[in-house]
Amino acid sequence: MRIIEAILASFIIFFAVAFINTFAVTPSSPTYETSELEKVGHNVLHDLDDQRLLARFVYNGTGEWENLTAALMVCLPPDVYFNLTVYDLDGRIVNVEPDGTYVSICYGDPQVFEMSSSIASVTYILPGYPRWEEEKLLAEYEPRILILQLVRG
Amino acid sequence: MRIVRQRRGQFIIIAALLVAIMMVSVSTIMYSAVTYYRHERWEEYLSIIDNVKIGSQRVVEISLANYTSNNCEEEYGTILRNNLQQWVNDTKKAYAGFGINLSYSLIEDGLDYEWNEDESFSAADATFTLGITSAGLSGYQFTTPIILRVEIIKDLPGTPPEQKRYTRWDASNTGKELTISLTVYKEDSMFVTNLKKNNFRLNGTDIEKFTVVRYYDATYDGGAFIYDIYCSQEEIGPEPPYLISVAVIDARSIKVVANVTVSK
Repeated sequence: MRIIEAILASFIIFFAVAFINTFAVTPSSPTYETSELEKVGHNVLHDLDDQRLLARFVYNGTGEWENLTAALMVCLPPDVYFNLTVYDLDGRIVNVEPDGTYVSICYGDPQVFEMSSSIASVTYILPGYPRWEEEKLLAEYEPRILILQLVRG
Repeated sequence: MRIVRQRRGQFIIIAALLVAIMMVSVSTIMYSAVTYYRHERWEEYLSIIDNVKIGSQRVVEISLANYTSNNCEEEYGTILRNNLQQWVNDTKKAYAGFGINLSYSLIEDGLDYEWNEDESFSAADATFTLGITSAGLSGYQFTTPIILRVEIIKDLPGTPPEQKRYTRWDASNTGKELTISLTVYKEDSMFVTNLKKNNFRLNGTDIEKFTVVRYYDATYDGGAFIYDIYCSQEEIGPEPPYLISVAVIDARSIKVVANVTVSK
């Protein structure tokens, strides 16, 4: 009789766990990791934009790309590698020198980006930046799209 | 009288109790796990909302900066509307796949100014409605009021010259100095405190030699950050009264021009 009770109890437990398990959405680790990195990446870009630094780095271009790299290195955790690319609305890469040389805004071993299975990507759009050029104010709408890729090193 | 004890049901009862406890505890853990990760997924949309909100504010600022730098000429009156229309289209492009639906509304052209007074301002305002189809979000409204206001401070009428503290002509000093006192406000009547000399222009750019000092005056209007602009007589001209035009351009490049007449 006790054996039957034990078997019945086991069945009840088994069915209870199975039933509850249908409601659980257990994320895989890389997904969770990517989500975390996206959040970190967005927060960093948002903070820099809020302090009006991000637009200054992006729109002043030459000479400021290094400052942008340094700012991201300071703001992101040291074990997070990043690679930022700035595009205009036509999809052209903007982080280039006047002679057309590509300026890399990145930190970390490029191989980590190739090897990692969980690369987070953050999209951020800037509408423009008023700046003075030769005593004339340029306050034009000229959006830039920033794609920030992040990976844990 | 003998009490008959039923000894057989106790295991079922214990098992049922254990199972009930387990179900409650496991369901609590599962529920928190499910809701936690659901919240994580929402972060993505919160990020987009943040980006769209701050970007919309920047578009309004840029448009107002452009409008005021062109001295609020009529031909630039539609700049905010034009920029916002582009912004609405570009957010859809930038976040393709999320189903962004941003719209805006303006009162007239959304731009306003009143210049050449001792209290002058430049302002812009827009109301946005944001929807994100993929997140089931619709009708999220936010506004972006932008203002820069300059108030030139004068002493009360009838104040003896030697007791004047604010905007004044001070002939008692050997240098014969003109002082213009002003306060600068932005949204929510907050003081703008980060202005330097290059944020000010006197009489267009006619007067170049002047100095700017900022201080906190606890006695003025319950406490205020005041900028004093000093310039010498050689820079201004012979004798007062002077009509001085002060242009203030803040860190967002928004401009306001205020005028004041300074007499002896």
